[in-house]
Amino acid sequence: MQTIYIEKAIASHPRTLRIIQQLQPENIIECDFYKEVFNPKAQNFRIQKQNPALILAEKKNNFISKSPPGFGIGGDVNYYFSHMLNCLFDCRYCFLQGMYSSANYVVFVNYEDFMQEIVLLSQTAVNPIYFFSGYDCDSLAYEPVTYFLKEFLPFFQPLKNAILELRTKSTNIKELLHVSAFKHCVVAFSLNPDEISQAIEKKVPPLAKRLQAMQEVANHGWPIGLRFDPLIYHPNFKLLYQDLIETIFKLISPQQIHSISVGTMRFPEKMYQTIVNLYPNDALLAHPLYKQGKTMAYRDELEQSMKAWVYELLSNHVNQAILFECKS
Amino acid sequence: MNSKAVLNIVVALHCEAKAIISYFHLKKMSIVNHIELAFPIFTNHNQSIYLIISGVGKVKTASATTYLFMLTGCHKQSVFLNYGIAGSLEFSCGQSVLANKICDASTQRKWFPFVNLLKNMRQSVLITHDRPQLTYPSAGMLDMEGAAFFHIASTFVTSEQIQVLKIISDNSEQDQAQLNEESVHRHIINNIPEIEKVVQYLLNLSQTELNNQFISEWITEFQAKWHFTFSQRIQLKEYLRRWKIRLNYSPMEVFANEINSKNVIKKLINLLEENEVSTP
Repeated sequence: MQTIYIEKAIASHPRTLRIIQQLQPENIIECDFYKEVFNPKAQNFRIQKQNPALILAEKKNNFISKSPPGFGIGGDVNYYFSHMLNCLFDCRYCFLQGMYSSANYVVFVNYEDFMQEIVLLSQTAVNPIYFFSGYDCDSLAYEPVTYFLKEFLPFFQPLKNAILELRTKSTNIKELLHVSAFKHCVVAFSLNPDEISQAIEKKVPPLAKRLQAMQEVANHGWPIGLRFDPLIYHPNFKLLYQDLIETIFKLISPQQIHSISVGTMRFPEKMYQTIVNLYPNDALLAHPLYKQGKTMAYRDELEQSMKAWVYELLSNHVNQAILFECKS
Repeated sequence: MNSKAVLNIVVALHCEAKAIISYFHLKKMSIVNHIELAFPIFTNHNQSIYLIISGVGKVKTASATTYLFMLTGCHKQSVFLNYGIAGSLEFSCGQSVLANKICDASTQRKWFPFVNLLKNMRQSVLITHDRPQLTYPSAGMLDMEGAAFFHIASTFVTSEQIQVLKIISDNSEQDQAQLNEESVHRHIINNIPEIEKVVQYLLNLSQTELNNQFISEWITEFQAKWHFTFSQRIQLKEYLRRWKIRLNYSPMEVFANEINSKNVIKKLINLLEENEVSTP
């Protein structure tokens, strides 16, 4: 890591000191508030993505947020939390590139404040609450630096009323294999066929390695989530997704799966324009998308046929009850 | 749209500029469009590098930065460099240091240039004051221009396209009162390799940004032939962008016989839908 920005207030926080010790950055730059570096509008996400810096910060409020409608996997109450903003990977369909003006990684070091709010919410809830951790970042990808799993898995383990979803495209599973699995933590793998992944999911490990990681995690006892979101159109769409799904079910059994969610490619309208301006020559963004409310999405018939095909393939293996549609 | 990288260099003093004017073979521009220029401005033969001598201080720097941006065509892909002398206790005289954080001492406002793509260069904080300072902080650098330059340039282009490089000229041992044109000139000459490194980095960045932009020649051709309303222009731009990615040949021949803009847009939509192809 070449550069780390550090908020003055957490300069001597134990996690800050550990990360600095570990990464040995060439430059440490002090700031008062991470938003001074992260939020200015006059920044170019695409240029920064070539070599992002790390920002260590303290989150002051809104530790836990309600998930957007249509984001759930069977629970009535869904929240998400982000110990990190931005992702190590570079997927062209990702909303983060349209949401943030900076591609720098922000890591909030005050994990205890997130934990405190999670405890409060889960203590007062009647039904299990779902907490999604991979909304603004990949849950596992930066584990060697953040120790997110190392710290949050032991925290969630006794909270039987709190179901944690870790969402990832990473193969960083060492910590998951190091501890005993528990049933209220779902390790969800976002998957696309290799040909599509290689073209539009830059820096993501090869599909074969991720499937192998998924199998190891499943065999260790962790409930697996399969996330086919977003489905990407391709002339060989049917064949590519058929191959992918058949491969998955050769590696894991339906009993090892907690939930499967499916959604087609879509962008919030404003973010779509920002992303097009960043990558005007990108093939993914040349496909016609149509306005559906405040979202840009494939033609409705195309969307429906893509989802129907994937549901049909999945129905051969699993019960409909664990299939969910992503709409957010 | 400009198709060539453009670097705008803003320097306070002629003695700071002299070595670079000579190194990049810049020639003085005297009159542009029959107007006598308000600042001394120099450029190279292919007009990819412009250098303006602003004078000392924030107001002059801000004015010169704006003036140069306007003069060179207000291109969003242009890049900016401010270099010049600065005081520092942290570094030795003669060392060059890239600003990774810039503070305006009078307003306490801060900027953070994106320096993560420039490897193996010394970096530090730069504090810009309204007046010359007699004492130095233990860390960082002092100048009288950097904050104003970055503030103004970042209203024109993104912060990645702007860099500030300082050459340390004075500290507690080397009194600034002893500086003269010759010693400043020598400091700059000794740091030409570092300045050139930043110049090349910025020019490459500018060229990459230009290459990434959708070429507007087709739009110009279409607008010359038909009249498009405001909303049609937005549609035209988007459909031609997709055309370029998917079909990648000049569309003009296909549309040559269309009588009005409405027909052009309609035909563009139809042809693109016929060619609805795969993503990756």
